[in-house]
This record gives sequence, structure tokens and C-alpha cells, in this order.
Amino acid sequence: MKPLSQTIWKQGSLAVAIASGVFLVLMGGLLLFNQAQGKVAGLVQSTELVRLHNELRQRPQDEELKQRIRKLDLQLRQNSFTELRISHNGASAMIVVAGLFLASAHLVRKQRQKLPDPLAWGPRRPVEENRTRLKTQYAVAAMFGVAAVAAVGTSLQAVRLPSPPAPVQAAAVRFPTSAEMRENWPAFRGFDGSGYREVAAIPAAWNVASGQGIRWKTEVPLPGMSSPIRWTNALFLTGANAQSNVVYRFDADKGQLVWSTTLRNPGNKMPEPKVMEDTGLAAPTPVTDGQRIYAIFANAEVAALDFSGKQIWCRILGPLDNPYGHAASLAIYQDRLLVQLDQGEATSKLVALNTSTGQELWRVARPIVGSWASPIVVEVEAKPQLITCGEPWVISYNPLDGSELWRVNGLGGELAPSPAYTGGKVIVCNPGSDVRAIPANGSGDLSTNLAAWKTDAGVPAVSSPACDGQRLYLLTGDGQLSCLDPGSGQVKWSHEFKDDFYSSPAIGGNRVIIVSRKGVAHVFENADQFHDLGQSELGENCNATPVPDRQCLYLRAGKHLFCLEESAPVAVKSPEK
Amino acid sequence: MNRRNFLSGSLRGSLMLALGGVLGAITGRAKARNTVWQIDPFQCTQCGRCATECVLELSAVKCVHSFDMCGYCQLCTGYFEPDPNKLNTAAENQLCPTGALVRSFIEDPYYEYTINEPLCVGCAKCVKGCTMFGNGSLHLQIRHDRCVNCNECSIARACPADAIHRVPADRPYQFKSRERKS
Repeated sequence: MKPLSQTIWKQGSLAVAIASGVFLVLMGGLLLFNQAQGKVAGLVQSTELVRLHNELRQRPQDEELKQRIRKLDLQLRQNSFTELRISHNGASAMIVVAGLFLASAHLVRKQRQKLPDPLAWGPRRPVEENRTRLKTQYAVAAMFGVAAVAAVGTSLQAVRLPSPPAPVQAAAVRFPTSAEMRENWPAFRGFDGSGYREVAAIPAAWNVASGQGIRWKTEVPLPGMSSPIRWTNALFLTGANAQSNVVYRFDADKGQLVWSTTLRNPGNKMPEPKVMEDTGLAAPTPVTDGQRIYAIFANAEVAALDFSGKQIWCRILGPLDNPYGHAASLAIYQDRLLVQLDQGEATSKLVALNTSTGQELWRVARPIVGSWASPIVVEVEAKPQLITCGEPWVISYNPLDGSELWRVNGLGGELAPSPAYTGGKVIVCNPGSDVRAIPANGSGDLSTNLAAWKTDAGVPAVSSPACDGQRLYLLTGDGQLSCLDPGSGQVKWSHEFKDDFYSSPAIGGNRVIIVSRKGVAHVFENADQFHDLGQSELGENCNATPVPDRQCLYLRAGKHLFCLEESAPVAVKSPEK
Repeated sequence: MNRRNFLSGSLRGSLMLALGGVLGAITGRAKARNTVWQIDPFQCTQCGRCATECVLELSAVKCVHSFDMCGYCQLCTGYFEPDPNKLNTAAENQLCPTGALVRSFIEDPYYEYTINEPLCVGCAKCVKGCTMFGNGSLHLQIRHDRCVNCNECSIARACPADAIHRVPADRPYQFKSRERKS
């Protein structure tokens, strides 16, 4: 007969062991289920919440919808953090209960009756049995030995850092060649900002009313002062209003609008930038590298789109505080999109963005009061230079890292004409003062050096110089056109047009075209004497720079994009829809 | 050999082997601790898997903020939903699903953004907004006060950008800064 206390102990231990075992199984199952569910997945990947947010963008005043979002948000947070708490507390409890289970199970086992060992009274173990036991002992020891050697060998093997990835070969990333850039018109005033195309067909005259010389004309939905750019058969243009910044692609052959993409980013609700009517919200010309189009607008929203119109990235580099509105066009060098943002001495800057991702690669502050001129990228003695103008400095940078190469002091006024480059010299306009040529192969502050030449003849205030290497054309706002020798600065001839001009001259082969603000185009020979070839009217205002092409001329006017050609059908053709 | 000898011999041998194993393990761990896992913020594509793939219940990955890069923007694209309804702290306007990004007014129009770390789950939503449209001052890092330094890190295995590497333990973090932007 067992004592009562022993029975109570045994039964009590058994009860505790069973209860704690059941708890461990249940809690373990719960934790495993919890783990499989993903505690934060429901919170961070809630499709319902995304749907409600999208609905709210459609109905921003819907207070009930806002309440639903808040309620769901709270519920998701509570669920996730409650589950996290359960997991944490459950695991702690499991450790305690596991200890209890082991202790009670041990007690139960200890109090179990043991059967008597008959060998205790029997004969001694035979010799064979001892031999077998000895073999077993050796086998166990050998097994442990092998395991120990393996463990030590494994642990002595150092964890090696992964070898750094091989540097990307330059050949792997292909940038357009100079020949490709020259064949197309990838930026404001062409590849190098000279406004010149060697092989081109600028028509001498056309007639919008009769359709003579008009290959096609297409309405541009939103206004903008930006000029077209062309890559193969794609013409790109920008337009904007207070609500939208839009990039357009037109078919260069037929004129139809292929796509239009409204840039989309959280900055769409940024306050509308203050701009002058003459500048507008889409003054900067986009740029392309043949793979993507990059555009910037007055609110400093800059974006990259692929040729199918899909937005690759978009970011805002502002807000900008520019008294006339941002006007500097974008420049590009290899994988760097170069953005000149001059708006005040404390805030002017030059930024390089990665063309693939939009991430900032470098940024330099600029000691510039403000400017509306566009930067150009040129090769000087086989090295790239990014040349910028602003009051009071002309500064050249290395486009790869933003390091400054040289600078020249002395620009004044409100600087809108962009620089041009020809024959190793940078041509810069100093409105109201002079036009000067600066040798581009110097370094450091060259302000005390003499300019290669300087002239006060026909200094533009808005339009930029155009140069084919033989002749430099300067056009003032009130219509004085001067043709200079770019090597010496000597004036070859000048002619006065009774009109106002903002757009820059464009040179195509042996012809030059200028277009007045009222939309009157003048075409003359690219020669050492002035020889007028024709005058035509667009019937719309025009501030954009013409784009000469191999077979025709593209021109953006107030409402339409025109394709003009020398030989023309009789009637105006509507673009195919 | 009697039973007593057998037991004492086995026990002695086992203890020796166990001691060797422990010493080996300690040596191995000491070597393993020379490196730790870390995220290269410039390779990170903000896919969000750090929040859900870590073996820890609450991920060891947290958002960190490089204040020297921050623009202290009123419209912080890491804080607000795209196209926010209003620039306030209501749930419908916040990007962070746990409210871990805290917005504090400094002076008009500047705001400071700090991270309430116990709430941060490393989902990278704020990082994505800040990187795509801002200065990229918000970024993810593996916090070594939480990371258990698994031999094979489960988020490194799941990372689509291969942005998680072992780095020397004496330089365990790869923070962004104004000087280090790429």
C-alpha cells in the first residue's frame, strides 16, 4: 500500500505534465500559424488600403471615405501589433511552461514502479557480451570523433566576404555617338547648341492659307515656349498648364500625335510657380539620348520617359524662385542629365542626375544671381566641358564630376542668350554690352585674360547665337541681324528686320532661318553677303527655335507644330489619326 | 572491463569531444563575427521585402535618416502619400503604414522627420518616396542591436537587387551622407 502523499504527488505531477504538454502543443501551433500568416505583411501590403487611397484621389472631398481609411488603418495596425505581442508573450510563456513540463514529466517517470532486474541475481555476463559492449563503445567513440573533427574543421573555415562585383565595362553601356547626335536634333539648338545642321532643307517660303510648302501641321494641346527635338522619326515637345506638365511625341513623317504623357508625382500639388507670360510653364526644351526623353518644367519637375511614353522616373528639384520663370533647357552627357538652376546667389546650382534612375550624382552651388541661358556640352581637346552662363560668370565644368575647369567674370544684366562654341572658343553674349569669344582651353579664373575678340555689334538680349564654324549669326530682339567671322569677330554684314524676335536663328546647309514673335519667318543665304530668299507667315506667334532636318523644317508656333518643305502639295493635310 | 570502467571511459571521451566541439564552435563564431550583414542603400530598390523576409518577427531592418541630406521639406515625399489630400498627419495622408515617421514643425516652411524605431517595420515605403522624389536622405539599414547575424540571411536571399552584403564588423553600417551620395 502506497502512502497517500506519494499518490497525490504522482497524480499531481501527471496532471501538470498533461496540462503543460497540451499548452505547449496549442501555443506552438498558434505561433506557427502566426508565423505563416506574416505578422506585418497584412499591414504593409494591404490592397484594400491602396484601393481606398486611389478612390480618395478621385474624390478628395469625401469625408466618409477619409473616415474609412482611418478606421482601416487603425484596424490593420492593431491587428499586426497584437499579433506581434502574442508571438512575443507566447514564446516567453512557452519557455516557462516547457520547464514546468520537463520537471513534472521527470517526477512522473521517477515515481513509476520499476521491474526487478533478473540479471541482478543471475550468473555473471558471458565473455561474448562483454566483447560486444566493448565494440559498441569503440563505435560510439569513433562516431563522436569524426563528428568533432568535422565540427572543428568547419568552424575553422573563415567566412569570406563576397568578392566585389567586376566593374561594369564601359562598352556594356552604349551612349549615342557624335555622328548619331549630329544626325538627329537631340537638344535645344541641336547636338552642341550651335543651331547648325550641315545637311538640311530649309524651304525658302510657304503659304499656310493655301497649304503650299506645308507637309503637315498638328495642333499641340498645351502651350509652351520650348522647341521641338527630334530622334529618328520621333519629334518631342513639352507643354504645360497650371494642372499638368506634359510631354508629347509626334510622328516626324506624318505629324500625328503618337502619345502624350502627363508627369505624375506627389509634387503635382505644389504651388504653381510664378512665371511671366513670355516665359510660361514649359519654356525649357527637352533633351534625348536616343533611349529616353528628359524634360523639365517651371516648377522644377524633371522626368525621364521612354520612347513609348512610359515615365521612368520623376522628381522635383524645386521649388524655384525665378522672377521670369525657369527657362534653361536640359543638357546631357553620357549617363548624366545636367540641370542648370540659376535663381539667386544663395540658391543657384548645377545638378547632375543619373539618366537611368534620376538619382543625384553630383551638385555644385553656383555664384550666379540668376540666368535663363541653357548650358551646352562640347568637346575641347578631346575632353568634355559643360559651359554655363549667368550673371556675372561664364563657368566651365567637367560634366562627369562637376569639378570646375575655368571661369571668366564680367557678364551683366538679365542673361538669356545661351553660349555657343566654335573653333576652340566659347561665344557668350553680354546683353547691353558686348559679344565675346573666350578660349576654352584655359584653367582657373581667366577673368584677367584678354578675350580672343570682343564686339558690340548686334548684341542679342534673348536669342542665342548660331554658328556653322564659318559664320556666326547674332539676332537682337528688335531685329538687327549680324553675320560675323567667328575667328576674328569681324562683322561681315548686318541687316535690319522690322520685327521683334525671341527665337534663335537656325542654320541648315546653305540657308538660315529666323522667325519673329509674330510668326513671320525670314530665310536667307548662309553666305558672306546678305541675300534674302523669302518671307512667309505662320499666322501664329512663335518663340521657339526652328529645327532644320534633312528633308524639311520643324517649327513650333503658338498652337501648332509645323513641318515645312520645299516642294509641297496644294492643300493642307490633316495628320492621320 | 566492468560496467564502471565502461561508463567512466565513455563519459570521459564524450566530455573531451564536447570540449573540442565547443572550442571549435567558439573559434568559428569568433571568425564569423568579423563580418555582419548590411544593406547598401545605393543598391536598394525599396522592394519592401525586408519587412517580411527577416527571420525576426519584427524585422532587424529599420529606416534611418541622414539629417545632413534632408531638405526638411513641407511636402516630404517620404512622409506623404503621392498626391496627398492635405499636408497634415491624418492617416489618409501618411505613407508610413505604422506611423513610424514622425513629423515635427521647426519653422515655416521647414519640418523635421524622425523615426520612431519601435514602430518601424522596414517596409521602405518612406525610403521609396524620398529616393524617387526627394534627396534620398531616408534609407534602410540592418540594425545590429536586433540582427542575429544568421549564417545565411533570409532577406539577403530574397533581395532582388542583391543589395545586402557581409561587411566588416568594425564598419557595420553604410549610411548615406552629404559626402557619400553614391
